[in-house]
Amino acid sequence: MRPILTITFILIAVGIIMIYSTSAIFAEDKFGDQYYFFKRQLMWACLGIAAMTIASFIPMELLRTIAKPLLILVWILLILVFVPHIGAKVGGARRWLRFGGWSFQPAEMAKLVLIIYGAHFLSRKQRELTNFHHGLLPLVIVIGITVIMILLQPDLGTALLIGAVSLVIMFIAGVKMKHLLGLVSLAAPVIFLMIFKVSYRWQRMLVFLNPWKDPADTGYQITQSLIALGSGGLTGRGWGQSTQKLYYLPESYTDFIFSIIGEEIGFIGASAVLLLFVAFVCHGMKISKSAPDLFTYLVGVGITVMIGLQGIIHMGVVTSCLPTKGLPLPFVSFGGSSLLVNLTGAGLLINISRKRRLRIKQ
Amino acid sequence: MEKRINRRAFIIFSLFLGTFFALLIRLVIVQILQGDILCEKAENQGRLHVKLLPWRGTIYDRNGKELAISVSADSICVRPSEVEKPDEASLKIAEVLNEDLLKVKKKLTSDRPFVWLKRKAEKRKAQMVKSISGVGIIEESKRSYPAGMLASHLIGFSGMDNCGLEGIEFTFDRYLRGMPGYLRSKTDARGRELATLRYADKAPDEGKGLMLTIDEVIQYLVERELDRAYSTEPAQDGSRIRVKGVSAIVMRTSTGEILALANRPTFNPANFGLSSFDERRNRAVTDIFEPGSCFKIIPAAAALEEGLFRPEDEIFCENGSFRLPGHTIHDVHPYGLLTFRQVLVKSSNIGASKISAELGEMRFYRYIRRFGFGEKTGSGLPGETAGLLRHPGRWSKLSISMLSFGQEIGVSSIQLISAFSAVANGGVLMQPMVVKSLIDGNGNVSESFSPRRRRRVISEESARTLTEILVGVVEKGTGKRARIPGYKVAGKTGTAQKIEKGTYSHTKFVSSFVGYVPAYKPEIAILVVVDEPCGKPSECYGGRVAGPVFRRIAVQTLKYLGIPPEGTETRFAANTPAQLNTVGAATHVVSRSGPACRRGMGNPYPYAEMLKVKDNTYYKAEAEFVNDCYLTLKEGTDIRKAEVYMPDVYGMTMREVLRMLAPYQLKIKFAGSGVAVRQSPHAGKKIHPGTKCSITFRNK
Repeated sequence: MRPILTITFILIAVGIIMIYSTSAIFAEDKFGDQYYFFKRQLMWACLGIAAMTIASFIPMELLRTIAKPLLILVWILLILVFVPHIGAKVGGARRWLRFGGWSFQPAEMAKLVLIIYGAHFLSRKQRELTNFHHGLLPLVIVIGITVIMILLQPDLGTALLIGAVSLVIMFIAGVKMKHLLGLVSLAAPVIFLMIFKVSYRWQRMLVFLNPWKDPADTGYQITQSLIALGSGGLTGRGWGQSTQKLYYLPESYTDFIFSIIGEEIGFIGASAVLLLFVAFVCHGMKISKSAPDLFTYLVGVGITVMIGLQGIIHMGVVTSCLPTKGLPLPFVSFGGSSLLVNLTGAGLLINISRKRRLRIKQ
Repeated sequence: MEKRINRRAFIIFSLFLGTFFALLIRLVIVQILQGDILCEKAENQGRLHVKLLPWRGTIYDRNGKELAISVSADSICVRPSEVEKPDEASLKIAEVLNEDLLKVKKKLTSDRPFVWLKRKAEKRKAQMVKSISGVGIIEESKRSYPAGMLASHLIGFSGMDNCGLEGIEFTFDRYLRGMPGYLRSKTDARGRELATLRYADKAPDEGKGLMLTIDEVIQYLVERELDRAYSTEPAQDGSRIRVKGVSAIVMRTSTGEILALANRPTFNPANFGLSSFDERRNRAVTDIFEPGSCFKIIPAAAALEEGLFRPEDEIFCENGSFRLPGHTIHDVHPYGLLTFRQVLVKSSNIGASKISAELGEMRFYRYIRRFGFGEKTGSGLPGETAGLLRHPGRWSKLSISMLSFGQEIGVSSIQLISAFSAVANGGVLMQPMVVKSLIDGNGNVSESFSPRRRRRVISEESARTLTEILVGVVEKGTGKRARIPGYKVAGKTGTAQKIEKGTYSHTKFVSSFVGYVPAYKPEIAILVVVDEPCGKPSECYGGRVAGPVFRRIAVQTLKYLGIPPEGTETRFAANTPAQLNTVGAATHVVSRSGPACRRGMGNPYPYAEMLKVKDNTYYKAEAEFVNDCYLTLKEGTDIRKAEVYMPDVYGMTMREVLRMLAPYQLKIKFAGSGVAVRQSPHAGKKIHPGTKCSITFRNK
């Protein structure tokens, strides 16, 4: 079995186990079924593995040709989010499309589609990249439109992640540093304004610097997260023994699942999960490096960066290294769309690694 | 190109690895280095510390009947911050709890985190408002008094927080209240306990039960008699108004156990807040009064004990007017020479003052103290007074005389009955007792209190002599109305003028009767004190006002306790089924089924032996009790010559009266409807078949 597949499966397994542990009591209280989240994650994992299998066999040429239609599909879905009855409003944000009992986050899909489209665009315009107008502007506009649509939901976290991943792809593809810095300096004031305009975001921004200043209000989540990690110690309280998941730490099965891993399995478990992500990034980079063409290379790097960066942000947030921004831990946190998209990404990485083998065989 | 791409990829890759390494360091810091501090913080949150309140112990009568119990009640509280629609909610709550809408709304919109809406509400009402958001129900225990107002002064009551405030509830609170337990555990962030993390747990020690010396049945019949004495029924001349207060105590002479203690006015302990202080006061214990002639037993006892007088020694009673420096003492009826015995029988003030003069101040004072006056009896009832007794050093020249007939001294009812009890008890003063034993949670006796002997006050011989004299008081003297056919009663009347504006009033009295029965084998002592009886002064004598109450209480109590009349050898077999038998033409219910005096209605035939009649002659029967009067029947007596006394029909319905009077073959005339309020002849009068009898009924 390919290492990347092993890593992915271990992470999914850890995720499903931890989701059951963290959500059972909440699910019992809210839905009268302790397996509510567990069962859903399991179903999404099955769906995701199917998607991963498909992705690992899809010809790269086909992926190239459907890059543009996929982008348009994502845009349509991102618009549909705002249509009443189709889009669902949860906690003041319109992020979900709902059909039947299933809900889907188009922004998650946008992450992957934009990587594919970006890779496609950059590899096609490889020679014109130094020319800002012809080589870069159309891509910047596409990214801009997508990011703005996501910001409107609003989902600042995903928007920033897409922006960051796009910048990394452009950077690796060889876009001039001058242009990249220009883009960053253009985006920075916008981001800064957005954060400043909404006061709670600004408070969230700063609280990670000293969460103990206000542990009852703005610092609540982050201090509870630290308490969870700290009370786990070296070996943890034991699986299922977390007390922080008992409503002390909200969103413990999604945005703060890493804290509960730290509490229940201790430093050993938390660092093991961290090392799995390191391994994922290493293998992802290794796979990408041996890619036959620039498109494949950029897709591989993009996916690796997407998953790695998301992991870093999640772990950075829960350890109070970064401002509190709810992002799920890839493969581990509860969340159907996220799991489906990440598994598809992993499938594409496997696809690339198979190409490498073929090449080695040849 | 390829190279540049790889170089840039390497930069990104390195950045990733660096960040991951930084995160690993961070994990070490948070999980390993700061682990202990954070662990402590985790321990400190969600700490649950609950005080588990014990149930207040039950108060039982001497036979285990429940007098005060704790029942579960729902207290309704609200967390105003969780109330969603204060307007709607307050409207509903105000309606259900029948409270002022504005007040309820104020509570619901209060900025406090927790407000009581109603403590100890009805379960049904609590269920009705339970569903409103923010409203919660906390189970509390509530005091309930199954016997209603029975013995309310004695039992007292306890407050909202289940601490005793009055009576036995107050003085024995330390037993009744128990010890709170606790529960230490953890909760989740919603405040729910995590049972698996419970680390300390101690169940509360439930309050101990108390078994009183009170007998519910005797208490009931005493209260019934007090109600009657306290009633506002107008007399023939219409002059009767409500008396100010009445107290009665029934005490077991040999042990000092109080079998019943009641006062009027009274109150309902379940609703004590609605009563006045005057109603709540246990006047038998807290109030002092001048005992008047009742007190004459003290100088008499002292003189007998000191050997100064023999019962037949003569004393000159100055023909009713005895001039002392600064004051003249009068007797109600003037007497010349009276024997020592007669001084008490006729209740001569002059005679008593001459007896006390023989004793001298210090000796007299010592006996007063020995009989327990001027000190608390130690009954354990709250607010007990020591009375008022001055030291001889502060007496005037007249004081010794005044004291001899019960003036210039303040005593409490419980002191007075204790003193009489001491005489009955062969001269040994006992401590009044109200609590017999402590009862544990399983209903077993965990500690019993034994009767406490305080001291011997006079010799057995003196006590016997004094008893003989006191029997004379009832048989021939001022206490005739306390006579109980078949029993010897020892007792003394007292009529004290009340002090009004510094002088003795001629219209306000405290009338009393204290005695014990059977006189020569005493079982019970009974005190009846009537504060400001109604009517003309001549109608206010203790013998007249308190004597009949004493008699009625005594008769029923004797019957209930199964104390047989003296001089008869009859031993009744217990639990013989009720039988019907004929006496002459009349029908008697004849039964011996033990205590049968039920609440609400006295069984008119609690005690009887089978009677058989043949040729107008009883040949096997001694006594037949009918309510508080009875027929004296001896074997061989001609039925036509049997002494028959008029029974007391007060409070009975027409049907009951007919049934009761049937055996007597009277010519009965009824007037009015309802329950019997007046009768002629009076209870206890000798009657014969054919005696005219009229009974007046009134609707209650």
